[in-house]
Amino acid sequence: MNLRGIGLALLLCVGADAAWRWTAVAEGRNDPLPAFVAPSSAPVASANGSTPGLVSDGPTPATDAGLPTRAPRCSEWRTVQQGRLPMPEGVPAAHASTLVALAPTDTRSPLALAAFWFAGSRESAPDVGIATSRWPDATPPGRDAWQPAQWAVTRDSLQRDLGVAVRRIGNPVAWRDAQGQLHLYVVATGLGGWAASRVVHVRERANGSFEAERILPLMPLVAWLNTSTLVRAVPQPRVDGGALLPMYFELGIKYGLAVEVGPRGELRDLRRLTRRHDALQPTVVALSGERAWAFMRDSGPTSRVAVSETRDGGRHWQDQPEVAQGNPDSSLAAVALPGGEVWVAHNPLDARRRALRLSRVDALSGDWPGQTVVQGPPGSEFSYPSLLAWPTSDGGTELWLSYTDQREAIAYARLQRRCEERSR
Amino acid sequence: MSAWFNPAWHVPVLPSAALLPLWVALSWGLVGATVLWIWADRHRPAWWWRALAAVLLLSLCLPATRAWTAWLALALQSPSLLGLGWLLLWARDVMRRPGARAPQVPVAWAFAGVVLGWGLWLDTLNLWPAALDVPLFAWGFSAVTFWAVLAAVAWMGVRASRAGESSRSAALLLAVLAVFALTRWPSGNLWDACLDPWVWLGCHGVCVRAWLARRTLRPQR
Repeated sequence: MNLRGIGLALLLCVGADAAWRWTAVAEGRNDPLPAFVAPSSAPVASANGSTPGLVSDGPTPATDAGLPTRAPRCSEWRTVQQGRLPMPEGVPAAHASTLVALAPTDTRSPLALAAFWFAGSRESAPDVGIATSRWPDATPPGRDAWQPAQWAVTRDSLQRDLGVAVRRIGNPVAWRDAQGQLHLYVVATGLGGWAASRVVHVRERANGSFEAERILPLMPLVAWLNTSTLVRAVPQPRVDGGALLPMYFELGIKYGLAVEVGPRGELRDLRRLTRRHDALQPTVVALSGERAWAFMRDSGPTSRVAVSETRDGGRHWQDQPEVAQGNPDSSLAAVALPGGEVWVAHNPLDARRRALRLSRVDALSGDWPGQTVVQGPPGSEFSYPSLLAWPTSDGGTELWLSYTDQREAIAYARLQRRCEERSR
Repeated sequence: MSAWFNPAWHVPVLPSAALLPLWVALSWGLVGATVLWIWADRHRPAWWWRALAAVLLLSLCLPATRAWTAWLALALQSPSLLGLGWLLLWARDVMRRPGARAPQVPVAWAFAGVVLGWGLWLDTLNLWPAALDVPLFAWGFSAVTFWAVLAAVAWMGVRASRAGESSRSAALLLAVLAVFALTRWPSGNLWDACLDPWVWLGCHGVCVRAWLARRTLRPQR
């Protein structure tokens, strides 16, 4: 190869790469980490009791530790509706649901949401697909409006769209982008079972069906190591319409990942959430534009919820070692309410998966006050919660909780409470 | 903000989703056909192996007959551009000179591949020391990394060309970088274009052979 050839190759490479980059700039993809969508301006006490936006390195006054400074005085959450979601016909097993708010078409009764979960003859069976059911808007109050379940994604549809064979399908996560288009991130396994998991990005088409777009490139050495990445919890939105999509690596060691997607669902950044090797299934909740907590399932010997915190919009994450809340190696879901309260749905350490609790996180280090939402006899399982906060017509917020019910079905609970603002 | 530090230079640019199934089929089809073509050079009857290679390539034309590439992708996803390019170079040599040996890889380049591969393992297994939290895999999406690797390869090519040495390896890498710049195959990440497990193992082989050769040549005391 002579010098002229090298020069021409250089020109071609630089020109082509620069063209791609300019396209990215033109699409507005020049800020990979815009601020989180904050729950509101009301602050929440942090792990050491300080408040976001007013960060201090010094000790926290005892009077500040505990409750959010403007927490409303509220009753306990009351279950106003509950039941099981309809299953696809003849399907005996279900697991790992996710809830997503839909774009409402009726402004008088705008509550519209969808649930996605995996269902089949058993977990990890070849016939497992992603089932979905919708709760349409304009539903009269008190009526259970879940529509009959349909298949959103199957093994065959993934194989057809990707040109890559898929062995099994697992956890789905749903997200609605800035244009209102639904995206699914679905775990699909290659040769080697769950250790060979990959995350497939699936988009909703105009006719309501779903089409797999690509296997997300999350790990190096394509053939062997782009593997063992999974999703579980819903994304945390960013102010530009993008989102932080929590994922995790699970091949012997386990750790959380923060995958950033843009307003159209395009991949735009990839970071580690923790330095631990036993923390998985992160669920991220923003406390302010720059500050967020990632709660993780603990598969280590400590049996304590693993928490990581960022104070710079997700550029750096720091493990929080002082968390005392127990975790029996099971998945959690977290949500921040408009007042700044953080609520976590989780299995308590003493009852393990036969009980599901809803706890308020005022400070990471103390006990999390809360209430049991569902509890069954020994051997029963209520696990893998998903939480969604929805504004009510009276200015409050209601919680929608979905969870795995005995691995046979997905159950849901609609929770409301009465609040009065605390005067200071 | 200076354009050089614009975060857009670090945002991943992924290959067209519509063309990815084509890449999977084409890459594995070419790997299969090339391996058979090289095999035919050493095994008789050669015409039979070459006919099989042609059948493999023809099978890519129909969705039903190219299903074998989807099953290969189930286990191995897709080859790297460098691995594929190296095989094509070898097949070209065999066509020109029957019995041609595999293209030589400079030991320094193989060593770089070995180090990069181990670094990516550390990255994947979250094993970087706390003070050195390097997002090595994510750097593969950055334009700055691409330009740095491009400059290094071009410099090696210029040096070899001026010294009158073979610059085939530099030419191969430049071709790989050009295809990557144009298509972003296989994943939009530069490391995936340059390194797959087979290439990485091959790099280990080159380094071990060079080390053994040095030991053999070392004068005995």
